[in-house]
Amino acid sequence: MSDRMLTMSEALREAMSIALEERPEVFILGEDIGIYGGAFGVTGDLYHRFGKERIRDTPISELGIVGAAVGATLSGMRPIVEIQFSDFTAQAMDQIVNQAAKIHFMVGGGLHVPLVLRAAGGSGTGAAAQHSQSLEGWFANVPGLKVVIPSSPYEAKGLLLSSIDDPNPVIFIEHKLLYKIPGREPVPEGAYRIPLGVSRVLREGKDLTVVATGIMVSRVLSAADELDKDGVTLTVIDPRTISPLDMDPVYASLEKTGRLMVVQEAPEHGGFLNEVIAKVATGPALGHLIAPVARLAGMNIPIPYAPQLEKAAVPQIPDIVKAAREVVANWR
Amino acid sequence: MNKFEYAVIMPKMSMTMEEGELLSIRVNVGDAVKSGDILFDVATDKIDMEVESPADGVVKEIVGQIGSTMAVGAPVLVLFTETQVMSFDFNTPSTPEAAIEEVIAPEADQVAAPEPVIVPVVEKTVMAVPKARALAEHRGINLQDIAPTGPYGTITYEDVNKSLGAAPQPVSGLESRKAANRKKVAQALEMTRGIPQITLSRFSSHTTTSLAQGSAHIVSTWARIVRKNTHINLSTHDESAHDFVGVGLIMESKYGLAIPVFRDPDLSPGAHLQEWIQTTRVQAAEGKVPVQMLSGATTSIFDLSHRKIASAIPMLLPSHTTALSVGAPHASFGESEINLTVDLRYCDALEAASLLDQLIDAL
Amino acid sequence: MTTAELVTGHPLESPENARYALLTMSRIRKLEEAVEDLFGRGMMHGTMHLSIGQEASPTGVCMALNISDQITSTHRGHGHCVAKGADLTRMVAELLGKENGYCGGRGGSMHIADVETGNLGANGIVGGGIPIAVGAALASQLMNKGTVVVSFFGDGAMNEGAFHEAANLAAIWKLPVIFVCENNKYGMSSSTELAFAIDNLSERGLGYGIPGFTFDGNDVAAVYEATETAVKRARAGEGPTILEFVTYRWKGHSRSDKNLYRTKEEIDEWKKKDPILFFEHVVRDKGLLNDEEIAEIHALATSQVIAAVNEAMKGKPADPANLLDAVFKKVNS
Repeated sequence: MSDRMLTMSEALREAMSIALEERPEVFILGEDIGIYGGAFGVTGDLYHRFGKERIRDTPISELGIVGAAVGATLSGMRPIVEIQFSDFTAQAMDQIVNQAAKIHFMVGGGLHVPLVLRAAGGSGTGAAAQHSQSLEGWFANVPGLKVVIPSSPYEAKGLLLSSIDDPNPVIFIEHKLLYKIPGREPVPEGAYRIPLGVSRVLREGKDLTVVATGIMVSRVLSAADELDKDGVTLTVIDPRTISPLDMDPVYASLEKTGRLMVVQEAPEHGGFLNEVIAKVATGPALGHLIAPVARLAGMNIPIPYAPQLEKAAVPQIPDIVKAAREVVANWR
Repeated sequence: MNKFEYAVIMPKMSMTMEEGELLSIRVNVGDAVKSGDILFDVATDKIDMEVESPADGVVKEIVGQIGSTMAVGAPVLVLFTETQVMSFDFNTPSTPEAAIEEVIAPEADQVAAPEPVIVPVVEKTVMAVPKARALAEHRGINLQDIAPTGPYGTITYEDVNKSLGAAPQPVSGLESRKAANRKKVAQALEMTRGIPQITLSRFSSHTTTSLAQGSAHIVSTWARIVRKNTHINLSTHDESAHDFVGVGLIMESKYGLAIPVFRDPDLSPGAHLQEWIQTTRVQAAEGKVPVQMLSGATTSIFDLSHRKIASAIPMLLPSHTTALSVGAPHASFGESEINLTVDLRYCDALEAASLLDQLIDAL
Repeated sequence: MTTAELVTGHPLESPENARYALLTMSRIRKLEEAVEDLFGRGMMHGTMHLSIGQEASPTGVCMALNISDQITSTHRGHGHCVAKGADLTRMVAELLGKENGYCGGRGGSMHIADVETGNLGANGIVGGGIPIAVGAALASQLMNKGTVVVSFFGDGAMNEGAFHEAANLAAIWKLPVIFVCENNKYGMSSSTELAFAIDNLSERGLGYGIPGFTFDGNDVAAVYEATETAVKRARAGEGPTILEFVTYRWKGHSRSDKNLYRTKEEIDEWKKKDPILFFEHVVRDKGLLNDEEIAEIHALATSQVIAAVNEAMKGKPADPANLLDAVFKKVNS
């Protein structure tokens, strides 16, 4: 059954199910994750399979939930917190940033926080400004947090299992448009783990290296298909975890292509992929560049509501195709 | 019964406070005080504070002067107290912060950053992508000669590639390194061209010994002369005297010329120096001169005695005050020509003649 | 020897218990005085929050707990640490930024944790430890550990959202957690009269279905008895309790406090209610300890603190070289 095509919801549920079976200390807590099955249906039937103790519905108390999860880790549990929309992490920020991220360091190593915080991010569902943000950059700027952004069902399952194994707090950001779409590649049955901090080269080309995260990975791959017809070929790299960040494949690829483009949904100003650009600008690959770095990101605005406005606010496939064409044509 | 002596100090009251002004003292010697009674007032740049008695007791002595500025930890007055008050006078200035700074502070005896012997010539700013720049440098192409076709008047990689000709010859890494090295040496010499200088010449019969010792004899002898003549052993940047003698010896390397610097060669025993030079020759031939031998010279020696070259006009390298060359012995009368070039700002022509005399006498 | 054998049980049950309660309170006070002195001499970095005058609450609470029971603490946490059994030398070493401090110099006064004695850590964020205590209690319940978690916090924390969210979770899940509010009358400068519209802060429990009680926080026996009852409830699976212990901080909030918001008379009034002196009266009356024994206990506490400071001073300053290694726990370790 190696050709199973799952959606990301299914893949995530499978990962959590494996972890719940493997480790008695794993439990899930969040709002409406029980009988309702999760706001995006990710926990699904887990409540019926593992019971209300381990699939624990909570009141609407993000700070309380994350704090309780942090406390549970200090006593030997491995909680997975589901925050319905990553925007709501703002409610829980003290526990994420001041507690979870720093406890191991502050107390000199005697305690650690093996916590996974799953949250749905991104736009495209018409949920508007308070339910559509891409906030990964907030967390990447906090030492002590690992930040994972799966781009497909296959990645989601393997990365989530590694995140649960990790002895540190992991912020796991799932793009809500990916939940219901089958991936491009099959999801193996059973447990497999994708290490955190290893970038994946999804496709190799000669003209342009594109680094993208989350939903943008699939958009870049679609753009690459289209550009292929013109003879413009892309190398597509998905860092998968933005903290820690593995830059080696990017450097290696730039040696061949000499051109870099980064694509993210988060607003451009202060966005995380700027870090990728900074590392290229200050690192060993600068001398390979034959073109200025191209950057495609969300507009510096809150995510708007109306579908045409919402689409215009973040990079779409034609935007990627156009930008890639330009950078390759202008800089030879 | 007041059985414990306790000094009330100028307290640290904020994270940054280092000293405070003693505004007033509210008690006199012999006064009985209760825990919590105000003893004195203190002012800092941030706040004024009342300092309380930590315990019941009697004022034994007043140390602080009203109106004076006192360091944190300095005693202001002394009490006899009924209970023992916690007090830790370790009497050392090493606060935890200071200790941490010590760890971070760089080691004092680190070697100074090497002086750049070869300084690139500054040209007009040209816009070029990094890889185009790198290619141009490797191929010895002046970017100013290339017409940019990229956006914003930027030279693209393709622009440089095209300028190499329709079918550019692949150049080996070694060839391009040689070319770059040649160019750098030429640029360096270009920088010293404007320096007023003179070259003097004398014959010497030392050559047989020198040949046998592979330059060690001339290097150590010249180093001794330089050491004695402090006016030529200095930094041309700030004219500060060197406390060592650095002699650059021009050698062959796989990339062309190399000029490793021998520090205090006159202080090394002859056999030792000979071996040092030989080892360095082998390293230079492989293109690997030790980093510590890349700087610190005030003079250079071009020893041609093992080749059939009669003489060469030595040229000053940047930051050097003198340069020496040694030619091959004359086929019939056996003497060889030694040339000395000096920077006239540090050494006039007569002093130069004296230097050359000293050298040949010593040889 | 700077740690004490933990003694549990009523402080007035026996001379041994009385001795332990007095020794613990005296150790806390002497440690705080030492900290004040070291800070005053510029030997301590940062800031510090002293709990002088509040010693009865941590002492009484921890005498009702087992070593395996856990606590979360606050920025004013030295007393909780000591009462739960922490090593004085490692505490002072931490304050002095030494390698052998509890946190290797990375945390300082506000972040001391001690896993061995069940201290899940002080907290620099007001109310930050409350949800964490609830989570530890959830873990205890899920793993059937039978342990209880006490969350110490001040009056100020009761107005943080964290308290409310955490209290509600504890109530609906009947978690073995005890919310101990050490009401020392001021959140920095805001008095409880300004910050609350209720008389007893323990009334807050009503809104969550949590029983709440208010006690004299300077009476170590009363603190013990209240905690003992709450611990029994928690172990029996009856859920959380809110205990408000009314007490008073003699010193300013931190060193730069000029006490502008309260009067000297008020401070003097509370100093008369010194929890240590009060306990001495009680044990003398009950014939548990005589004057000589009391003096000996204080002398012992004093010498232990002095020894701890001297020992801590010998420690190596924490080394910046391994700072990067400390951020994440190594995978598979």
